[in-house]
Amino acid sequence: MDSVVLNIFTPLLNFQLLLLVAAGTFAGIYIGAIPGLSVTMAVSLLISFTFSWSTHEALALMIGIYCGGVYGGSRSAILLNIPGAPAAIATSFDGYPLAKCGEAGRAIGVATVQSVLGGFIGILFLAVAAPAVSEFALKFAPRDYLLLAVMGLMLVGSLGTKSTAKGLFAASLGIVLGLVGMDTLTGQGRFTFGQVRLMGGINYVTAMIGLFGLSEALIQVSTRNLPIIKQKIDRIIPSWGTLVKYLPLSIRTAILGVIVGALPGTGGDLAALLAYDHAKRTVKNPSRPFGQGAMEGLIAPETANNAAIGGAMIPMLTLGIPGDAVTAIIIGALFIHGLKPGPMLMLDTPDLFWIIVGCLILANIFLLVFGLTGIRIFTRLIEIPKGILIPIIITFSVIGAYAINNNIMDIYWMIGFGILGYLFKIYDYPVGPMILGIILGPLLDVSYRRSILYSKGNVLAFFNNILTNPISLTLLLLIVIMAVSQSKIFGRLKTMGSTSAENESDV
Amino acid sequence: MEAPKLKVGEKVITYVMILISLFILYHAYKISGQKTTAGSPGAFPLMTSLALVVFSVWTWGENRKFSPGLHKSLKSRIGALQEIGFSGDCLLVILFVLVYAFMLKFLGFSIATVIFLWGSMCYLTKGNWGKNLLIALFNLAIILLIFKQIFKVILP
Repeated sequence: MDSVVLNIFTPLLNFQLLLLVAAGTFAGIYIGAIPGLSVTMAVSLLISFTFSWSTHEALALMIGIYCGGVYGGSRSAILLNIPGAPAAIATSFDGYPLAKCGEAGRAIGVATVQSVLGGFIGILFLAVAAPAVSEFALKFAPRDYLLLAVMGLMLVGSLGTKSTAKGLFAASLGIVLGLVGMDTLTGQGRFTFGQVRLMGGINYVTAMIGLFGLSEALIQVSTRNLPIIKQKIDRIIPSWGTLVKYLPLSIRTAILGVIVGALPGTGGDLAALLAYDHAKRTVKNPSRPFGQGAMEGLIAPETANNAAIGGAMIPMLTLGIPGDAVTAIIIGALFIHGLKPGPMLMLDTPDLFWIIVGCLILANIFLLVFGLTGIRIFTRLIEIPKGILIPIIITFSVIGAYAINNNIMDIYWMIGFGILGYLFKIYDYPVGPMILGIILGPLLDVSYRRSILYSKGNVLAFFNNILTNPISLTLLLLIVIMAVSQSKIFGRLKTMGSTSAENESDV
Repeated sequence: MEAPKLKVGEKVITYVMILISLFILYHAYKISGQKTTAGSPGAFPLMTSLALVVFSVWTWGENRKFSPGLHKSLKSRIGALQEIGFSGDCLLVILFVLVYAFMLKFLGFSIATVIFLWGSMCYLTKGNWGKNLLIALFNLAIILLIFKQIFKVILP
């Protein structure tokens, strides 16, 4: 117990870690707030930049940027109706109308406090649930990791995307790209086309920088001349009465955020949308109609998206499966530093887990401080012309791609992925599932091969093992339920059911 | 009610994705060839590329619900492409980035970066060349300070 407390307080007592968490949170808020910059892009760049740092220092900075960035998107969502981060899409529904009513300051203040509250609830769940999940995860067989990874890819490929087919296509393409290179079990080259250069595989950090960084910069080129709307800011800090009044909703949506964040492949953006939907269904007398500045419509997504951070860390640390795109990148960072996320991480390096919890607590405290201040600086920052910002982002992407292996070829790979990501975004193919596929591809392959080896190469025995093991069977049923719920037949049945219920109530 | 329209070029992209999926499927089969079994190195790639083909054909099927956009002339197609984000500016910026990557090898990081930043900013902002040069130099200084001194990153 003493070591747990000591490790939680380590970031507070270590000046360097404290500074890195503060700097990361501050930078994350502004990165998340500026449309065109994204937390995923920033964290993916940081992997290569922090390569020579110690694990704790690298994580402290990334966690700060993660927490700050998820919250930061709400600022531009409220002030400009342009969500700075996907997690802030739902925030703009009522945040911007509040700003139009002259309550931008109040909206930002409430968004900040709710984000911090959601963040702390997420951390509490992480601290309590993760050790328990980690113990449970030791019972997972390779086939369970296979099923879990499939579930994560299905979730991210089908939820929050305009087209399930495109989402699953992107996820599958990502898996194929993740398989490029030498097969770890036999040494045979796969998808290398006889090129020795490809035997080492495709570096996923390069892919991430291209897909998230460069592609977004290219998309912004077309919208760079849109006018910036100026805002008046006052009355930022919310009253105690406001916070107490909305506490039950905050707690409910925070719990929802943690659960959604903990599902492999989903994250703050989905958590925020589901929380907004929940608020609309359950709040009978909102302060204003939803969509016209309802405070509940601002509180729900902001609490949920920051709570999802703690939730996303649970599968990342205990199972080695990312909860969202950012935790996927953080897994990459842990690999680079010689660590293997999963149940053994908790057993071999428990101090790391509690230091991460400590960094998250610290990041939320800094979030409160930085979130309620510096808003006027922010309004200046978002007035930087995009024509200036875009080349700078591209330069950072080039540096980030080169810094991984000090190889010029990685820059060309990054440009290639950037162009692919640009095309994908134009034609509504989501890039998130693709990057998750690249990261999970090798895990899926190894888990599958181990499961088949365990079944002595017999496919029927493989399926029999799934059906006769309670954990495997549960995961399989969840996958089937998810697949069925996305199907047209289920949609039609649901519509028929709600129509007949309406008809009965009319009668 | 009229069906929503397909974006210009979407049909082509879908066909390209199907072709890429079939190409990947062929190469996945070649990994283990006729010796493919459930546990061979080619098994999982084969299953994944099969799924890729299925999803690309599914996307093609979904696109059939949309009505095709009516772009009879090249001018209207180009206009429609620009509307969805495929502007000449984007293509030019991609060219700038490729030239920048090429220049890194011959001119070194500092000179190549200043040329790229200055050139792109001038093009994108249609602004003051002198002011953009100062901004480019200032940014280079910040990059060298942050990445070389603080992060100790080896620059290209």
